Amino acid sequence: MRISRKKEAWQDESKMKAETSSASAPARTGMPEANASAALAARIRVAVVEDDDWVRDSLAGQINESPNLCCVSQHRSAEDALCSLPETQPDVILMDINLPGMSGIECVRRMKELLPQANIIMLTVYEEGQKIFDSLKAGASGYLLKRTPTPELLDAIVHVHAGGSPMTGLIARKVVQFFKQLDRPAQNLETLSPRERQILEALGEGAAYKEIAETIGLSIHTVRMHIRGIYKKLHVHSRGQAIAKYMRT
Amino acid sequence: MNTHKDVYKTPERLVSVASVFHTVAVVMRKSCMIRVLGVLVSGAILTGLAGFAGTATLVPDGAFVSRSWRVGQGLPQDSVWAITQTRDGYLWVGTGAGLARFDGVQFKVFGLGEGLPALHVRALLEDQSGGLWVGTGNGLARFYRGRVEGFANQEGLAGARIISLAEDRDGSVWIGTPRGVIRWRAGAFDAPAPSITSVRVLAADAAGSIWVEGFLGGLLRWDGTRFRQIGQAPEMRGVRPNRLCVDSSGRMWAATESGVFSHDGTNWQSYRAQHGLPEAPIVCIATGPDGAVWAGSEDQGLYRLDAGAASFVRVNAFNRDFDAVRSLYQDLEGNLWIGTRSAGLTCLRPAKVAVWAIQDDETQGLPFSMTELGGSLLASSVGRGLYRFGRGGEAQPFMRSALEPYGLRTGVLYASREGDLWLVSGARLLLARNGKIRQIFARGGASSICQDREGTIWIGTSGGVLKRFRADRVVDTDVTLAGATPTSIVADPDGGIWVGAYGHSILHILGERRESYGKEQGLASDLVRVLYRDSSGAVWAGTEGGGLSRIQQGRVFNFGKGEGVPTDTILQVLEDDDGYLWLGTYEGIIRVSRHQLNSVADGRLQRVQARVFGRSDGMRSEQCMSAFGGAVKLGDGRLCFATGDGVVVVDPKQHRKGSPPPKVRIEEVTADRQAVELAADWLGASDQRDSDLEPLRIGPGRKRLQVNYTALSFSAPEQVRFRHRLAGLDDEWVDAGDARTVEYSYLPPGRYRFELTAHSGTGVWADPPLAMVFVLKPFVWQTTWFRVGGAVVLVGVAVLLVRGIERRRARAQMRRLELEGAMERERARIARDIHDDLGSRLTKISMITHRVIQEGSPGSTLANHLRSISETARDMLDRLDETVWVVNPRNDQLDRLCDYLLNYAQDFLQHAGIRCRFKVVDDLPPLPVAAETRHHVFLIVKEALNNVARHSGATEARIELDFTGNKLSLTIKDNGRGFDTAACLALGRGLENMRSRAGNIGGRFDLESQPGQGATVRMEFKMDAPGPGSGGKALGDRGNAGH
Repeated sequence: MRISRKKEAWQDESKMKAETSSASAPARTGMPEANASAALAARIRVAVVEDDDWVRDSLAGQINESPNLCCVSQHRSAEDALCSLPETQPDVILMDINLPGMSGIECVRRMKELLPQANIIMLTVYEEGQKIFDSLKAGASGYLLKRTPTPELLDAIVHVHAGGSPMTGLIARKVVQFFKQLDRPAQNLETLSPRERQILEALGEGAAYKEIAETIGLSIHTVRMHIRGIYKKLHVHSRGQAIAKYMRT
Repeated sequence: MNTHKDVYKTPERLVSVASVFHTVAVVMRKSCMIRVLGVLVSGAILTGLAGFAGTATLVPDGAFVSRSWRVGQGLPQDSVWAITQTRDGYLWVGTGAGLARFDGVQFKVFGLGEGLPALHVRALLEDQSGGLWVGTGNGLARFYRGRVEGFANQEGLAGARIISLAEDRDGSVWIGTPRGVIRWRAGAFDAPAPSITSVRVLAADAAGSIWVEGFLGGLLRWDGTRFRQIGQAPEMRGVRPNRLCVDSSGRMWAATESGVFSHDGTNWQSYRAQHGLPEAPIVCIATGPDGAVWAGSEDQGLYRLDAGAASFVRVNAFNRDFDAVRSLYQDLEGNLWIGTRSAGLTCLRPAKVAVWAIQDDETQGLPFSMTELGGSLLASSVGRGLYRFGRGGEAQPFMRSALEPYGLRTGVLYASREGDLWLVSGARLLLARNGKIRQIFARGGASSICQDREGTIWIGTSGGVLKRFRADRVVDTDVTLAGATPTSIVADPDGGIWVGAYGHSILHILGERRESYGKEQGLASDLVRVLYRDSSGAVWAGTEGGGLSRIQQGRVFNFGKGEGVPTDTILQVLEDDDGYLWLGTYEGIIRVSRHQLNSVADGRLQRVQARVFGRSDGMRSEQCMSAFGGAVKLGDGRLCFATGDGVVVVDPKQHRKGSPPPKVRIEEVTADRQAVELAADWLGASDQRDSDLEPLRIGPGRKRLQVNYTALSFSAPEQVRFRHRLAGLDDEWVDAGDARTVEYSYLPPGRYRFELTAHSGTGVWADPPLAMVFVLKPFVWQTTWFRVGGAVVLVGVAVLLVRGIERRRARAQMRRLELEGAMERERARIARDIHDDLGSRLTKISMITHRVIQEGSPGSTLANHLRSISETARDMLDRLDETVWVVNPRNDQLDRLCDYLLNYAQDFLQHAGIRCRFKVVDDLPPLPVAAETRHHVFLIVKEALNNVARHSGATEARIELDFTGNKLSLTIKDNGRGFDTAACLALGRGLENMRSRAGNIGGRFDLESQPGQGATVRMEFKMDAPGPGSGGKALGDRGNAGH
């Protein structure tokens, strides 16, 4: 019947890649060409925060099986992660969005204070726009559905680490809305660069990365880099907004 | 009357409304509803009354019109012994079988039951205080203020036959009996003159002294202490008087066994056979205000002595009704009442019109056409020639010998200004000039003749040809009337003439000009019987069936029954010097005011007041002749109408002052058919102001109140018209016609003032009206305090009820809200559980199977199975996602719905390899969307996208979301191959589904497609505006619950 939904935006690229390379090539070797050398130079240090033991172990196992990734720590709860991760200093954190006790989103917000450099990828069972957007505002750099097949999952970690971020049309629209509704004029949509706005607009209108890349004349990776920039601004401004709100009250 | 009749239809229903919702009734009291409801005129009684007047025998007797009543007409007996009129206007008639009170129309009989000591009434007297004394064959009774007091057993009166009654100047009442004189003074009886042992007659003279005839003692007069002899004329010796009366000049008149004697205070004058009286004894005598003396003989009729005349004249010798007179009375209106031995009661009324008969050789001729010549009235009589009337109305044949050669079949007559007489005999037209007759033409006759201003004689002939006579020659004019007979020609001062014909428009001929007034111009009937030009220049047409029509300034106005003209065939029209039109008809002569007619035509008046003269006014026939010249106005202003029995001559001057309005009386008030005791004051007898009187009180719950009333008119009872109103119910007068009763049904309790007035055919209403104030007592539950109390209780109960209901409603609302909240919470909980728990477990399954596949040998059967498990798990997750999304109340918002739809669409289309483009309106409001709506919208979109992916072969899909004016519109457009919407059966089910889903949420669904043009699915549905508080609150809650 219907094609199973695999929502990750970066799948575009893996698909594209699958089209270009041999279709039968094993997934784990399917790395982005642009970052292949960097990824091999040093293994990316990954931490997993997930309450389900099996899933956590499984994720850790898969990460460790990857040649350019290693799982440096596993945590059952947000509180636990917040305690130990500042010492562990992972490059990428896989964070379950629904954690018992402190939520994943809150954890991201705090983690970003402690580890500004860490890229946090949210793990979620469903694609829930609002939660994901809240995570992004809190400082996450991307998100993954838990059921994402392993190769794609590992790819995503590498991409994020390399400075890219995925974004769906929905998130793009939310981002646009967010910037539009900012209180101070200086913080509104003008704070985004024209290119960023162009990309957001295109995404909001439903265009795929590839289409955007083709239209604007950029590589998909660059598009992703821009998206990361957008996320950063989103994070900053959402923080600013929160502070402003706090100050006012 | 018509308005009253409607009333009958609905009283019951209205009444229940009135009595149940008494508050409503109070409001309605002033409205006309109840007026209509209340005023019921009893038709049965009405006709009964009319019957009396109608059946009374009416005989025009020369100068008098007589009318008789006998037992059959309500009189208790045909022997009438005493008659008197009381000051309240009633006529009292004493018979051998009871006393009757008469109002001109009906008798009310008083007998033993009413307190009379005997039925044989012999004498009647009204005293100064208004009491009516009734002398009977067995004692005395007195009617006073509605009560009857009997004196049958008083000393001296027991068993006494009362023969005569009189009141002296002190107010003492003298009672004459065969045993002597009894006096009633200051409430006690005494016998002032025991020496007088038998009394035949007793009367008071002008000075108030009592005269009595003692047996063999001659006439005696009371001087204050005793009776003294009055000097008598020699011829009076041995003559016993039967009755005494005083005339207006104070003379005492005595009716005796042999003639009439009058006494001027010193001398007697006698009237015997040589003065016109019969040999028979004169048994009664009466005098009237005009000074006339009436004497009734034993059995030889009635005689009248006019004031100043020397001899009596027998009145209406041919009327045998009053040969044997027993009592006489002249009422205030001048009518003479005659009580007879055995022929009932007769009223003689002076005739209002004179009738001139064409009497010749003991046979009577029928007048046909008339004209005035040389100051006297000429009339033609068919077969008899011409007659000339003297001033007193004596008819003499005229020009008979000169006429004889031409035959006596005389018809139309016309006298010209020069004194020429034009007449028709047979088919010839003759001209009589200076006593000589010559024939103008021999054939064709003439139906109308008229002289115009120039002197030209216009002759209308029965062939419809109009001829003209000038300079001794007759010529035909070009005016033909299509064969219609010209019935009437009138000249106007401009030199023109008007021609009316039977069955043709009225022509106005002025030189060469012709104007036509026919049905097209509004003439009600073109069967014109007569034309008349009045002094103001208006032309009146009397027509057959169309009533009277007026032509004035080129416009026609018709007067029929609706306008108050009582009959619609008008044969003659004349105008008197006072501005009245007199219309000769088949039903009498009608007098109407020209001013009133004009007022009606101008819309200022609804109906004219018409006075109809008929037999009761002295006409012998009420049928006027329809002929040219059938009515003529004499030079002295008298009007003559040819009728079926003589020429009726009316002197309008005598009718300038119409009869004064009659006195009205309330006779009886009944409540639910039971008589209500009426204080005498309310009967109209009292002159007291009604505000001083105690109102009539009527008990509660009476449904029908009936008031019987009357007007005391004896001259023209049939002309009397009533109107009344019930102040407190309505302020409008209700015209009651000649009805003498009115019924009010279901009056709400309260105080009312019944007002009654009448006129006697003149339109001048009696003023002030008679008023009667009555109070309809309420039931306890109709009283004010009860109503107020009831209202308070009602309001209290209502308040309690409302409060109770409010409280219950509030509680229910709270419960509902709680329930809703609980449900929402439950939905959220289920969503969370499914989401979190099931979701993560399914994810785990998916991951585990994936892991196993990786670890196992690829391509094996087991791996395939495992892949299948994994895919199923993912699929389930997707479904679960959708389901949870639908269930989760957090998504009951428009913006979230749109986010979800777009996300879904983008995802779906990307996987289907179809480019997608959105065009989404910014800032969708967070309006609430019911879960059901979300569900349907989502499924429609899903189906539409499925169709795009599966059937269209499109490479791009555009999705547009717009929100304007509370309306969300969603468009999914593809660039695929498209299809013929009409022919596409494959999509049928799906389309039907989408359409019905859209219908379920009150939305609209359209599909447009053309082969090669792609397809467009458009859906629109209306969003409810967010409630003022609830939406925001709900949003807040949801926002918090979101994490």
